[in-house]
Amino acid sequence: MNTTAALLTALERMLENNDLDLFSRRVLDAVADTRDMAMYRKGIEFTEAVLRQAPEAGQVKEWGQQLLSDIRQYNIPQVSSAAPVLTVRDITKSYGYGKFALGPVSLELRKGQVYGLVGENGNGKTTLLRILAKELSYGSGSVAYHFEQARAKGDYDLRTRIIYIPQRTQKWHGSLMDNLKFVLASYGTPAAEIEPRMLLMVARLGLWKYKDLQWSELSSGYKMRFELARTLLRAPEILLLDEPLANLDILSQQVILEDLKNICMSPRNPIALMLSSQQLYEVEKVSDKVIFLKNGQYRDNSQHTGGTEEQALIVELDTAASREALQAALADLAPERISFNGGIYILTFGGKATFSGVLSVLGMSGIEITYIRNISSSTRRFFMV
Amino acid sequence: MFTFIRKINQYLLERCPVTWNTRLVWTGATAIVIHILYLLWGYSHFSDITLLHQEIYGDYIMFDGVQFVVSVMISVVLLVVWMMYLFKNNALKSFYPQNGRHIFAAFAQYVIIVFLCISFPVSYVAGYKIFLNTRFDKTVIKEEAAHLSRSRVFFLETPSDYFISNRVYPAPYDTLFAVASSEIDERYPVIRYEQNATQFYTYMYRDFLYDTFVSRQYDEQAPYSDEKEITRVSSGTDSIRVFYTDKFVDLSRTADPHYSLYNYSGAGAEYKRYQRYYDDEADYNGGYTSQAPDTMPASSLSKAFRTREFAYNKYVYELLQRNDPGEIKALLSGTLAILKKYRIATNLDADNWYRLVYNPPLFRVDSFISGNQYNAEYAEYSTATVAETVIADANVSPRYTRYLLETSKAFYTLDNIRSLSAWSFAKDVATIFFCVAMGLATVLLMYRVTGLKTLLFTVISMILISILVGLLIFQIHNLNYNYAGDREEGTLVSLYIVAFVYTGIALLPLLLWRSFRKIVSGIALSITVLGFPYFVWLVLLLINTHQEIAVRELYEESPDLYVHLQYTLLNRLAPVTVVAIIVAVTIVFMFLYTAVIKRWKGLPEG
Repeated sequence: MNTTAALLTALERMLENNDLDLFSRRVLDAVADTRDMAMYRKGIEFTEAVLRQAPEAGQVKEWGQQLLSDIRQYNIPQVSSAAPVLTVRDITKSYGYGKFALGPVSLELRKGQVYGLVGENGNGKTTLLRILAKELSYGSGSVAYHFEQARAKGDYDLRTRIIYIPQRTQKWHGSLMDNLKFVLASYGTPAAEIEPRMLLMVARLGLWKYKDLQWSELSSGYKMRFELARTLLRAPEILLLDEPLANLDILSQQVILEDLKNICMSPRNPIALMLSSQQLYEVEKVSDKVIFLKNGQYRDNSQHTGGTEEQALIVELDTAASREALQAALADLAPERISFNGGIYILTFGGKATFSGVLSVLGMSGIEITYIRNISSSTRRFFMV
Repeated sequence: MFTFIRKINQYLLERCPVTWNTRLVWTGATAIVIHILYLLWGYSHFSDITLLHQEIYGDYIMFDGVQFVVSVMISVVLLVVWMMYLFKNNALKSFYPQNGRHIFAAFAQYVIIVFLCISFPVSYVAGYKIFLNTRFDKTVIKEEAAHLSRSRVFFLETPSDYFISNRVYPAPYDTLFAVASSEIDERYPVIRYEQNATQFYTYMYRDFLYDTFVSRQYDEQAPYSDEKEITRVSSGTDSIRVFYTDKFVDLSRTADPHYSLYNYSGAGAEYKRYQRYYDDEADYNGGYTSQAPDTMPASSLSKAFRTREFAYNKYVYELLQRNDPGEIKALLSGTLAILKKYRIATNLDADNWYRLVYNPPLFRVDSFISGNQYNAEYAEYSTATVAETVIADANVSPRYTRYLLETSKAFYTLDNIRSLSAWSFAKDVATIFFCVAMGLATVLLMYRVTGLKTLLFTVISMILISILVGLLIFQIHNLNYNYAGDREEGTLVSLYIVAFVYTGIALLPLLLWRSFRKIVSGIALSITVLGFPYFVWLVLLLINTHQEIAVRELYEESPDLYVHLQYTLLNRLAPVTVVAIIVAVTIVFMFLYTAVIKRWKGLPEG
């Protein structure tokens, strides 16, 4: 988790390195943590000025420095997230005899951490997310929520705090801003704070230019961003996203994931985020833990499959070379297994082989490589091996 | 304007999200504007005063004519548009924090909106009531009615009203009763004139305990009585006085059989039901005379015998005795002025009328005035020669002139003004609209809470359960309660079956809500909410049935049985009070039940 000091230092560096776009978004995380509407308005003014006036880099830096110096005036407390906010013990869910069954699954979610949920289609990702969101009942086991806020008075109150966004979000009716305001008003936000809170979130998620559009005028990526804005305004402690990256281009996926990670790591309002996705690389990149579901069974990237894979080096390789050529090139490293799934090779090596060694040998042999990746600690190996 | 609307919207959105979501302000404002237009429309309804000339039943105008059709169309459009907006944001569906007050506030606002959107006819009614109350001075109306009442002896509308049988003043007529021609005893002399015939008798009365009298009527063993009953009036709280003819009195030689103004007592007037305007209201005792009192409590019978007729005949006698042409002319011209004021056409002027009625000293009447257009057109009589008449139609007396004096229109007009300017009925109708609004609002709330699928299954389940319960009750009745004496117990069993079924369904979401699939408890929840007003009604009905059974057991042999049956719960309470109780209990229930609704909403599926 970020501390405020670390965040401010990182922001300073961004200014120094002229990463002004990134600074413009990340600085708003720090502004949000102040929880002061005056600061919120400054943050909004900064965003508006940057977008409207298209100033020189020097000017942006000056405004940024000013904003940072204002933020430093605040003593922002840091919320501890050592204790889990959600504890799941051996839950199972069956859809009937002979049909799909999930679990048993045990896990703990901590605030400020991102959990990736991966697996092939139909392996229980959505089922698990819906159970955690209390949308779906489970057969056995237990799910316990440990919220900081006052104890929920019932399942409904509990569900106001666990936010689950399904894969297919519904159309928003009416103005986008009104929808966002409705959330805040429903959550009892004082009238004077609604506008600044909403605008800061819009600015933070890069939606400033789109805030006056209609839902039907938005692209899929921006629809998801607005959905996230609405969700984050609910100040959830647990956020469960089902395939948020579907239909997004690769750049949008990266930006959204980075934004989500940074927002969830807020020192003052940390969120436990679990998201399911088919975009393994992108999810693993931002996740603190990746959970893999296969036929309803749980595995995560801290686990190993046992047997020969224990501490093994597993490499994913895409090349036009034949299996024989590969075997010849890698003979010195004595791969335990070379498997080909029709598109790419999966190379499994014994205890002493290293990834750099493999790269070196392949480079020396002159084999043309299109793509190579060390998946020894990636859940990708569960898909491939 | 748009800025203003936007500002109000933002204010509501930030401070009262429930009200913003229900669109109470805008839908309500639109409906109120339409209500105002309806009020103005209603206000102009009777600007053509001739509409008041015919009999108008209560405030049923609100369900009649273009205004009602238009109001239905507007209501449908308004409700559809409103719902389109309402369904755009559902805080419950999105699991935004909602406490019981929020859910109840939303429900209350649905009720207000639906009521405002469907109750335009009430404003229409209010419009013409305001018109009638502001346009017509009640004192003047009362004076005009009294004037018409004083003049009605001169209306000459029905020849038989002027026959000797109507005379009840002075002596000896005040102590005699003239029987109708069908009751004549041919053994004694008969007074006849044209197609009229009568005999005079002295009369007597006997007092009975009401229930004794009623039960005696049904007693097949009671001895046959050849006493001729005249009428019954109430006497005290639970007694009646029955009048009978007694001894024949021969007036055939002394009484003048000709039609005469002296005979007019208003007893046989066609529009007797407008009697409240014939005489002073003090004379009208609010009751009715009837020979079938067993369907009504004794207290609703007329409290006096012939008082009104006596008073009027006395007034006529004294008027004619004074024989003051000026006084009579003033009555006639005053009546014509009232008719003119209310645009009631007549071809009669004061002088011609005066010539028809002023025949002292006996004040005999030879020619009559048509009270409607039909008679006037068919009585082929020249107004210039009053003495001649020609029979033009078998139904019209040859004594009719071609004069037309539609006094009934005047009475209708005055009576319409009096009755339509009162508010009580409008309140009843507003109550009905409110109940409809509550019903629709409940359906809407359940749709918002449970969704369309559950609501549709609820409707299907309700139909199936109703059929099953109906069949069960039918079978139980067939097997156990075939005899008339068992009917009430049979009713009781049926009511209890329905009550138990409802209670069972209502307990499902309360006690076993986690044991069933969410949709099942959702259906039970919806049936509980939608059926609750009927359940309250059922409870009242159960209490009433128990009371009836208990009264019948206690007073089975008593003549007071029917009196005591009047005091059961539903007989004592006015329908509006019963509705008010149901509405009030339902509102309290809805407020408390929001906790259950919320709990159900939080349940996981599957």
